[in-house]
Amino acid sequence: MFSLLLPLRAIAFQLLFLLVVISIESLVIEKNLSLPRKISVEYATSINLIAAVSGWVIFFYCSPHFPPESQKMLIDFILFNHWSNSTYLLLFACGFFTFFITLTIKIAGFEVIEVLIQTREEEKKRRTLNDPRNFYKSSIPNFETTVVAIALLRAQSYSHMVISIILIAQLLHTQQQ
Amino acid sequence: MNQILTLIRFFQQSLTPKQVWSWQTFLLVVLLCWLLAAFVSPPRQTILAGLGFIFFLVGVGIFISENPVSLFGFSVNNWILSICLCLFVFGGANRQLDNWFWVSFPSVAAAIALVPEFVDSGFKFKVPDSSKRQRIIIFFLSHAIVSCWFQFHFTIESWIEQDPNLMQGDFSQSAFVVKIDY
Repeated sequence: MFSLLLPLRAIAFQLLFLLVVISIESLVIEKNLSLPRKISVEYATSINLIAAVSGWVIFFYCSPHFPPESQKMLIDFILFNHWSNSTYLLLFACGFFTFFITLTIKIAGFEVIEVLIQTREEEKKRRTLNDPRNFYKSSIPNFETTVVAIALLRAQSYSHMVISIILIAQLLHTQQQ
Repeated sequence: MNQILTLIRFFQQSLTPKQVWSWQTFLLVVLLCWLLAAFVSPPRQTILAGLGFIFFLVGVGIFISENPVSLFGFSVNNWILSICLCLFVFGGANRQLDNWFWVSFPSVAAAIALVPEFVDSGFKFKVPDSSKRQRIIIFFLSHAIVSCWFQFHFTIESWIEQDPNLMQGDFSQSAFVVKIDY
């Protein structure tokens, strides 16, 4: 008899979180940056995939270098869902830092994608041509970056709030059993 | 006896190359390479086997482009080619299939599927259309995340290797893994 450990639950959770986050963030991006719906969904999808993939890569590079005690704690947490007091503290700290690291990755990702595909540039040109009131905006340097950063911060806050609610519900559910 | 003859004739008909540039040609070359490889000693044997595998890849490529394979409406040509390529690179001659195969083949599949976007009709590099770039990014990243899941599986496996006693634990509470007995 052989047994195999498959990270199927992690995959299911990641898919769920990606769907939730993409749907929330695309709404916020659509409203805040006044982009067409299709483009904002595509932006939300790519920045979240970038964040997810870089998160995994960071995890794979860092986890072998943890001190033995925290590695033991990490294994206990991932395999058996054992929580100690220091796990709560560490997870809280990790969640706090992850929020800002992901936000940075997302803003950088957004800028890179913008340079790569240039649809927003065209969109902006079209809008400035149609609407003379928007014309002055393009003369302010870095205006767009700040707007993008604020919109993404807002999007990230909403989506992480929902994710936290799901995680807390899941935690309560497992602690009950 | 008659049935065996019909079978032989069927094989003969389907394996005779219709033109020089066809998958049957490459299949025959592969068989020849491997037949030769069976009779020579290791350094030359490895080279011949490798050569055979390269021809095999080309043959599979031609066969697939003539008869596209699809599963649930999705084209899986790139997956088949990627599995063959990664088997060759990471599974190679005498080594065992290792983690690198599983981790790399989804990303390689995405890269293979994206080749037509980066190559124009004259086999020269081109920059993809700006309307397709967003799609390309999403396509590649969604395959890369599958690679990450495979790598996560192997990370867990390395933990189990370090401490086999972990396997005795109760995994029903875990939010990450499922234990499957077979």
